Amino acid sequence: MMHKVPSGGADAQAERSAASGAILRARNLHRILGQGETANHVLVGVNLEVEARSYVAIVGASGSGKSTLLYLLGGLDRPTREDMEGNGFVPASRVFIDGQDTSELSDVELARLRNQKVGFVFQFHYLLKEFSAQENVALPMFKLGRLTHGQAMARAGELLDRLGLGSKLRRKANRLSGGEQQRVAIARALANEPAVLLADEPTGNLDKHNSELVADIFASLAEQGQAIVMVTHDQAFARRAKRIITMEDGAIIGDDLTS
Amino acid sequence: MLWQISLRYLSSHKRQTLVCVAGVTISVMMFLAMYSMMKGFRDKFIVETVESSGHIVINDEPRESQTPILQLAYPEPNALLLLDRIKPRDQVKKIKNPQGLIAKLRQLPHVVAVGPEVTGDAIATYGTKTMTLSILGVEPEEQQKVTTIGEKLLEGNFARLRATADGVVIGHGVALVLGAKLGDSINLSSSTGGRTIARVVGIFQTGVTPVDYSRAYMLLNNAQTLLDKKNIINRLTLRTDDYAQAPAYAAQIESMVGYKTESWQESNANFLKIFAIQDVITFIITGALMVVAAFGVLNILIMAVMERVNDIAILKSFGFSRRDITWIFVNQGLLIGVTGAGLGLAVGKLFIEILRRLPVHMEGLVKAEGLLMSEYRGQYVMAFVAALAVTLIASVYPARRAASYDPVEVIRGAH
Repeated sequence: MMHKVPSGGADAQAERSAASGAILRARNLHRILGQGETANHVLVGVNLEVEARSYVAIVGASGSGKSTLLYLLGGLDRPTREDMEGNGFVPASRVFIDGQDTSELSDVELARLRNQKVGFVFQFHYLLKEFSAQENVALPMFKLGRLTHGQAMARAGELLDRLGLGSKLRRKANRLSGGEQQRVAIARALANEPAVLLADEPTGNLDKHNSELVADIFASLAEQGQAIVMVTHDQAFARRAKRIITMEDGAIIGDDLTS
Repeated sequence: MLWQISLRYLSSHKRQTLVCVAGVTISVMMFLAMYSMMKGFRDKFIVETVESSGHIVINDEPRESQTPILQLAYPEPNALLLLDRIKPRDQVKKIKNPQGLIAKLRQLPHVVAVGPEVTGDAIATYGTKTMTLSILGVEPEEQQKVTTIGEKLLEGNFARLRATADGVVIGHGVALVLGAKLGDSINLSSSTGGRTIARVVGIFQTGVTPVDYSRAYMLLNNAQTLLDKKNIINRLTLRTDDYAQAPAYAAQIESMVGYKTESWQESNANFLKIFAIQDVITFIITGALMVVAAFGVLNILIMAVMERVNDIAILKSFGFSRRDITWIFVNQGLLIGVTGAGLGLAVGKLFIEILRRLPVHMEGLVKAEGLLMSEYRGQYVMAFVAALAVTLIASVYPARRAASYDPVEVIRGAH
């Protein structure tokens, strides 16, 4: 059973966001990949808000713009400012992360914001193979610099323990199984207690058992209040989210709450 | 943390890293060894030249005018000026009032000693052997103050020049060519008709081959008689408190005395130019070695960047900036550079000591037993800094390339 999320114009959403304290807010998001004849308008004026403690799944066919939207929401990519004729989009494409307008940030500031507020999980784990599981998880904490080396390593150990990897802290990343590696990647994404966890096909490279394990972890994190936005092709996984956004041809065509 | 990542990346490819470090080490070692050898040779030549010939020489002639008299009369730049059939004038050259001048020079603050000399050529004959000698008439006591000739005697005693009538101190090479030994008498005759039979009272060896094979010292009075330059002093040799400052002192003295005054650097300008060219060649060869080492670093870092594209993307995704990524790879270059250069200094020092002990007999411009190796702290600093700079430059391109990767493109490519 699904319920439609009330929608409105960009300005109306912005006002609502300010009132509700949205973790993520996208306003009139456009993204054009490539140039000239090969240009592809991947996102076409997307407006979206993600509330704190919400668990959102983005679904849609391949090429519908799901991953592009996710990368823009996480500040990993920047929206396109002008259309193919060189005219600026009105209103300007904007992404707000925890109330911060990312368009005003330099690359260094945006990187710092990602470090503090966003945790990414990708289809592939992208662990640094020269580092142990614990060190991989601690890396974002080392970068943030709030904790001492010892404190960061201890927290990394706790996170891995929570994800069932307490016995494999010192194991090199490439000595872990695919499912274990993905769990280390999830722990790494949670290292700095991000405002939102963004996952791009987190089970896309896993077998059924490990996919269910990851889906359980996400559900558990959501229950604990962790805001999650994930892109998935897995309908069963998507249905475990509290809100499902459906995309087609670079636009949101459905935004439903699950019962 | 960036250093830790750099270190882990390097240690994951131990073999390539060691080859890279070895490249830098060898280039630094070769630079140190070659530079030490060149400098050792140069230092030996300079020291022996300076010590055997004095720091500054005042000649009995004015310095050639920079502007010939015809040019003064016809200053047009494109004028063709030609002087034809100029006859050489038979002019007896000498330094006027040498004793007064010597007294005046001794008062100068940087002058340590002044030695009067008369110079000229003579033909030496011993048995059937004949050779041309450059005769230096000197006051033995003064000469030993302006040069270290007194310490360079293999046999005999320099002071015996005064005690022995018509004594002569000849170079080791001269003795070899003539076959003359200490106590032998050799015939000396000058172009002006002067003749004498001189007894060899000493044989010196400065280590500078041209000097050892051509020079003979006589008592000033005896040389004046032989060369037909009675009471003439045609050269003053000076020792100063700092031989490196000789050109400045020489210019000062020349403006004061009016005679052509040459520092040892000016007198040996041709040799010093050769040494400068040797330095350039050394720098080119060792520089080429360093460039090869730098290409090694460049190669390993480009490979590392290509291999770490996914790492770069994920590091950027959780907050590493372009600058952080740049430093991760520049640090690798620095680690290779510091390790390679550091090892190069140690191995280079060892290599220099080994070369120094090699039983090599050298006799060319200078004579020496063993390779002449000269070291100074600056060459170690120079080698270290150059190696570090080269590896740093080599690491910049791959590092910038690494930093330029767009994480989104990388992640899309992996999908």
